[in-house]
Amino acid sequence: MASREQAAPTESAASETAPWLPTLSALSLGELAALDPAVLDAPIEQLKRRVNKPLSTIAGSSGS
Amino acid sequence: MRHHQLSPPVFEALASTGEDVSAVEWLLDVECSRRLLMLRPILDACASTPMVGEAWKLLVRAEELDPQAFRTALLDPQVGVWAAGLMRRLPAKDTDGQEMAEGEPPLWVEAGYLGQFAAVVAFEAGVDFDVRVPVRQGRVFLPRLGRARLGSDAGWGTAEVSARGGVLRVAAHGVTVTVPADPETDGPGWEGLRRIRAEHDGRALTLVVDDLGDHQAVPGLPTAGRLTGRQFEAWRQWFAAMWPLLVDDHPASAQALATGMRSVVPLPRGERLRARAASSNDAFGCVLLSAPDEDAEALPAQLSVALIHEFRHSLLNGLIFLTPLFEDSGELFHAPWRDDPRPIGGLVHGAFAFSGVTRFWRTRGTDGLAGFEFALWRHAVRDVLATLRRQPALTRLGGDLVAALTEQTAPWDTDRAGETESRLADLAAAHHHAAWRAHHVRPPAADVDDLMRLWEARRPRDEQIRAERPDDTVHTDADACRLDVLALLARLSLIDPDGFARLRAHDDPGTEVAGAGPGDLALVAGDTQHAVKLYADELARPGARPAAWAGLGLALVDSGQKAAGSVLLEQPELARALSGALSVPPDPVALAQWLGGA
Repeated sequence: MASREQAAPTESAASETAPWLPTLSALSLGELAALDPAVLDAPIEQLKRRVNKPLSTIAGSSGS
Repeated sequence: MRHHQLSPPVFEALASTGEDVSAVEWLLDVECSRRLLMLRPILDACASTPMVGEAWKLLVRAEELDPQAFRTALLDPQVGVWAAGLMRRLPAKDTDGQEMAEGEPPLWVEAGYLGQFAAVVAFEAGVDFDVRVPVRQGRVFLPRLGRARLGSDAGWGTAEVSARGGVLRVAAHGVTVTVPADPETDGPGWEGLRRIRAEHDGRALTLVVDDLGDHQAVPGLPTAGRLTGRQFEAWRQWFAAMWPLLVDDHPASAQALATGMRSVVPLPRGERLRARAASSNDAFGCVLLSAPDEDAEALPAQLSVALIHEFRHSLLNGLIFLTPLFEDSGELFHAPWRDDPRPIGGLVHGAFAFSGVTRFWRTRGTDGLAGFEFALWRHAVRDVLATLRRQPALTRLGGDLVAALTEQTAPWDTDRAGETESRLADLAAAHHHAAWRAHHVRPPAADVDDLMRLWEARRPRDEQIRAERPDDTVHTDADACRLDVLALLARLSLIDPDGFARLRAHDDPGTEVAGAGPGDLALVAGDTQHAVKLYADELARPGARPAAWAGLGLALVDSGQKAAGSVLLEQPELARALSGALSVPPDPVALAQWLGGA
């Protein structure tokens, strides 16, 4: 069984998927609108792939 | 530009059976960036639409004045569902709405929602403004505030939202609705979005009761609709009764929930002991809940655990959004918490959510309902984590998550639960698994034909056929429902023994508890000989529940017929298929004994 140390990701595991989401939370809306579109092209493509997989969870035994 | 990066400490805080406020705060920041990123393509695609350009300018102005009000509104679940839904429609570039699906509003209406969002932020920032917004069936919804009714219910139109000196108005079709000074209250033409506020020992929980929003977090799942004043008061009281339990006994969970949860969408009351709950990856911090059973003793814990359960789905959705934990493999699995076969993502979500559920009940004792729930979900989580550890479709980080949960939950296997509670949990777990197989696993037709010939020739069952069938197929049976019946009856026997006794005396218990049969009640009561007879009687009649094969298997094992019972628990689908194929209906017990090699 994995130890706690093994269970936490190593640096390489944590970077398995390269960071892709810009920290836009630090920007104002004005700064967001002024960003060069080229900077956001790749993140927006990643975003679309994820948003196009809507997922709902429904708990409880179905009555139908 | 910097990016959000999952650090080892944050991963460790997330890959836990508990909830951690620092991880929640980190996920909220990620969610903020996610929604801002969604705004950019929306703006790029729709900025030329006058209504959108106007709304954007107002939003920028309001955000400059009050960034916190903007962030709060941005993180509202309704805004998340709107932005994600609109993004899914953008590739069509259908600004006239010509390619909209049936029932969908035109794209300009969806894009124009930006004005409703901007109006809320500007109002909360204290800005005087005028902005045009779309009208849907005569109504304008303002997230976090409420809904104005403007006469005609027909179609789409435009309205003007304006604010002067802190007074907000919505006007269209010659009708002006003035939003009350306290927007949570109703007024002429106005329905306010109410909040549940619970406080205990200095810890506050505030949730918007979203019974008005335009955007459904889980499409197709019927919601309760607008709550009456009395219904809202009941919800408020349920949360008031629940919150002290969470704060006192599960303080870290309470802190995390208070930080990350935003809204609750009421669902219609379900059957007793069959609460419904749901969540969506578009709506971080939103939980959809059915009205809880009004059992004063059980309600606080049941409502608490439902919130923790659904909130954990939000946490995992946040993590999965940033970094994948699994690849879609197309394979379907048994999930002990669902009637239907689930893909790997459903297993990962369930294992994560129910590890928190198990931890919750573990804290609450070893006897009664807590002991049963702990023993039941401990079993479920252990089995599903074992399945997941064998899946190559997990990413490395997904494997790390499964390993972390395994490590934290494994010591629970040696924890004691009450004897009765453990027996009931084992019954319920084995029954669900076998009932699921009876519904969803199809044995190869050639094997069923071989068995049929052997049975009709009164010859022993071929030993080769008893081996595990690698070519069994999982085929979703849409008729599978209420496979939780043994768990439900176990709960009833623990929290309402008199009610259980009355049900057991009922000629047709299925009319009182949907999905229950007389054999189930005898089995839960420990009257296994009688249960064998009742299940056999049921299976000899047309229209028997496939799950009755699971019950018969358990009753046979408990009454000493281990081989006959075990074959029904391991391969109930064989008995079901063979029984259905034979021209003369077999005696179910004799068939089980024959399949078991007797």
